[in-house]
Amino acid sequence: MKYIITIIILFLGLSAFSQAKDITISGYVREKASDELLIGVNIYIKGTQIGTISNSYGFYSLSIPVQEAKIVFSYVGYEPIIMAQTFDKDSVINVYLESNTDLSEVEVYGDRDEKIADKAVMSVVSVPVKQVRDIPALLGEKDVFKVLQLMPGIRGGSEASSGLYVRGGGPDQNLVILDDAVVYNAMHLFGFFSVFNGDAIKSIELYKGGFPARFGGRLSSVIDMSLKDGNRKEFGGEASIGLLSSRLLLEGPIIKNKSSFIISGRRSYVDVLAAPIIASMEDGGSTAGYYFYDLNAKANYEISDKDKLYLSGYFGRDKFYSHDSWEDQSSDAILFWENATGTFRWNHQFSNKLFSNTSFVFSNYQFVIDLEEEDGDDFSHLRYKSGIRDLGIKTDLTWVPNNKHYIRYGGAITNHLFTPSAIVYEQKGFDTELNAKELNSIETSAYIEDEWRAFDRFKVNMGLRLSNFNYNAKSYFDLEPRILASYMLTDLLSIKASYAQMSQYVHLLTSTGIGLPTDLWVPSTDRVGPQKSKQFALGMAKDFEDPNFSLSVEAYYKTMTDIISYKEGASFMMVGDPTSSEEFNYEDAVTIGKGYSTGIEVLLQRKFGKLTGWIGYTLSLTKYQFDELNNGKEFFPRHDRRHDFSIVGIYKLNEKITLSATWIYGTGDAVSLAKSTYTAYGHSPSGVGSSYSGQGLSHFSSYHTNHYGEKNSFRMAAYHRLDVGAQFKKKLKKGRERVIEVSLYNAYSRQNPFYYYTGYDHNTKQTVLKQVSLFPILPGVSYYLKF
Amino acid sequence: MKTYIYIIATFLILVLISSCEKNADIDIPDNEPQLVVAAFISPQDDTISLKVSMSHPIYYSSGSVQLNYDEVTAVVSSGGINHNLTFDNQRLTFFSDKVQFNTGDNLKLDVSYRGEKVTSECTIITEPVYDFEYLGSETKTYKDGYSEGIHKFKITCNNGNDINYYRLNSNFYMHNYWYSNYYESDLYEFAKGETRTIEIRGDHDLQADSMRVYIINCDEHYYLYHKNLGNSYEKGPFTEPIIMYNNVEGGLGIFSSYNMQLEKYEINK
Repeated sequence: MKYIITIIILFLGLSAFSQAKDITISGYVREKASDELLIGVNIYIKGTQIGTISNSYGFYSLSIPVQEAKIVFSYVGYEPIIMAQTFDKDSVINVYLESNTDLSEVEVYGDRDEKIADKAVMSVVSVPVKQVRDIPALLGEKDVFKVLQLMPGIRGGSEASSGLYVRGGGPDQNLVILDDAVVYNAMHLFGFFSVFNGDAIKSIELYKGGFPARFGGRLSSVIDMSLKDGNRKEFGGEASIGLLSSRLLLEGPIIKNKSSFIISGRRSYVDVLAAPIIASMEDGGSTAGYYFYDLNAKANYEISDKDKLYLSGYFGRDKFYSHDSWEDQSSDAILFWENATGTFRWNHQFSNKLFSNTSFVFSNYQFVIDLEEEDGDDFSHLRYKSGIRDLGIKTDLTWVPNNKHYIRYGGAITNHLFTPSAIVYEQKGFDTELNAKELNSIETSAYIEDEWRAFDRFKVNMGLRLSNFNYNAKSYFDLEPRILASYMLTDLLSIKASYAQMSQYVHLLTSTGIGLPTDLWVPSTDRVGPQKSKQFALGMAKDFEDPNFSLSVEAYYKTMTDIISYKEGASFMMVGDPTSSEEFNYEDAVTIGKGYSTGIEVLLQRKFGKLTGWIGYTLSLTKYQFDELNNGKEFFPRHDRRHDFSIVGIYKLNEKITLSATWIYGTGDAVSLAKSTYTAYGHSPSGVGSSYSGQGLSHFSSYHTNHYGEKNSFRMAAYHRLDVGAQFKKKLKKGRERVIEVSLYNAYSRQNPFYYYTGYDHNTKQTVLKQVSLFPILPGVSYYLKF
Repeated sequence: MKTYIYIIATFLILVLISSCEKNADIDIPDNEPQLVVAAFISPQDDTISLKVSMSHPIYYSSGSVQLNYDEVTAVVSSGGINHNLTFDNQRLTFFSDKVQFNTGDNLKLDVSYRGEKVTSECTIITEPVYDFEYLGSETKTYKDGYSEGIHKFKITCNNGNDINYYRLNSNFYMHNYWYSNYYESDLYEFAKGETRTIEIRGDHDLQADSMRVYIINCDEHYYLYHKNLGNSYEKGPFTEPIIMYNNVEGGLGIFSSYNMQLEKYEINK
């Protein structure tokens, strides 16, 4: 293996330098109205296969072998620019694309615009942010993750949950990155909403396979999001009022054409609205409430044409609180969890072929319970805290030596500080600190990848990632090869194949299938090593010219080893029990196993025209095996879903009205249900636990036990739901726009099962299985204003 | 305005807490009563004891299923000899006395009741072969003020299998009277020749002056079943359910063997 990798690297090196002298065109692509840098713009020489795309910072570099060329800059939703001219030397061309707000009028230019057949990527989900806004949502709350769940290969957790399960992997196996910073536990309100509403998001890409070497650290997916930079030309903003929360976004120049900012905030107001009711019910002696808020902010400064600085951050918090008071006694309870990320980035352009970005990254997640009681002169105070804090630096370089190679390389080092549980207890005359154990670890990585256009119709993206994790004296090291090949059978049809190995050094302890703040991040240790996966994918991509559809079909097979799960009978309550007198190591609560997932995914998509949207279908099978679960036999994890179907339609009736609908169908979750109860007899060697205790007699001890059959052998009822929405837009004076949106979540009020329990039917006088459903038909209304 | 706010607030609260329940409209898992059996056979015992009961279906049943013991037939056979088990009304156990099994004997269990038949098999396991050393006792006091006695032992497994399943059980005595038991997880997997230091707890008030340690070499059935059983009580709504080990064909339960040695120690505090 080492020899093969060495040969490939040598070959690439020789190949990269062996090209004839080309002319290099480079620069930045921006949106004309706001100067916002555009990511993923297609830049190519018309009539050839030579082309590139703008990177995450809007930079592009294209080597052209001819002096006369027609260079096309095209991006969906924007008017394309064709530059036909003679180039006699390397040139810097900064391009400004003009937004075409009415996608139905977009003319598809040439043979490239948004075509998927000629891209050397696969297993990537790219959702236009504009579509996130158009799709109907629960209570009108736009949610990036819930849109991703509508794509094949990705499913949510239980009803309305924002959790993601990608190609058979668990919610712990997704890397969520916002401007290079990892976001942990990215959920509001116990997972009903993700922390990303899309207002300040510029781009969203989810990789579920065919991972480029620049990404690593999780087994199943990478969700890479970038915040907008902010309008460099004029001040503006957006405001929205909904049933659950309201949002406000402001952006504008700090120094015109040089520096800009964007700030976006959201807050729920159930607590504010409910406060008078609670106060009237409790005669003012008690208060209680819940709220969440989040805040995105970013500022940038262009030092020179070659250097740019960015400072961005996210802060979000969910908080429950209550206060009771009577006579001289009072009690206060607070439960909150919060995420904070910060990224300072420096873009530097060394030459027209070499671009770099260096990021200093901070991320912090904490979950806190604070209980305080006062009774006259006595008081007690308990504070429980768990969390994870990251500090890191990473550098990524993009080198475009010629039009056959697009090379990326770089490295990162991150310090993870885990606090599984820290407890402080104070009482009058007594205070103590329990389990205040911090686990310090260092994760490092380095990578190189090359998107190589070997022939006109054949592209390969090959790369290698080296990763290392150190915790105490234990050090893990791994080589993760990645390769993706794409061959164009015709101009509109290609076949693709990929292989990727991934390692994951941090683990999430979760057992509920919903996003609880108690989900706990922990490091690999000497007892619990890193999780690993290998994934093969094979697919085809087909573009249709008229109408403008694209079709992709992919089959994948993924193996996962050293994955972790709670042992039978264990839960997070054991790990973080504030009343426990013993130090508890999470390793004692988990067991290590393996799994595999295989499936076929079909996606028929239309990104522009009067009618846009997609139809997705997934046929998949996922099985896990743990020596200590289900008596060592294979079982379906809860999120195994045989069939998953989604249809999303957005129809622009005219300039003022947009209609949208989504319908989803999924096989029910695999769960364990007790079929019967019985008395299980255990052997009591010395009479321990029986009436013969101490007599030295072997005896039976009895336990009341449930019989479940095999683990997760029961299927919940199938899940299906229709959401519909309508947006009424109106252009106002001075370029303002307002949108009123009405929506219906679960339009035909399907009672989807949230969970089952054993209940009693008073009519039949029998024990029955009861189903609890969460959301019936729910209307949503929101008012949006752009100014 | 105030009325408007109240209406919205009430609506939101109703929405957030609204959930509806109904009888599940799906196929219920198979729901017939099954025979449940349990027997642990040791070459040191001259009796076979067998528990027989019925499982109680949870759904659409209107009460527990009572077993008529007179209609139960239970036979343990080995080497062509059948041992018919008879029911003891006092212990509610089927048993047969004056039996003698040896290491390596293959045993088969047949139990039938009103046309239902369950079977299982096991092999008598070898005696535990080990080196055992008492390392001493100490008192551990936790930060919250709780104290307990911890008694340390070193044990080396010399049984010949690659994996050997051991169970250590103990009683504490004060002035030769039974005082308390060791309840914690006591099941261990030993590789051939592996040595472990084991802490035995349960001496809550630190008053015991001697202890008996029962060292058991058990078969895999015994080990896996008891591992499940130790976790079988509910520990909260978020715990993974316990899938009980079962080696009984056509029914539920356990039929397994063990081989036990006893060690006695004075506690050095």
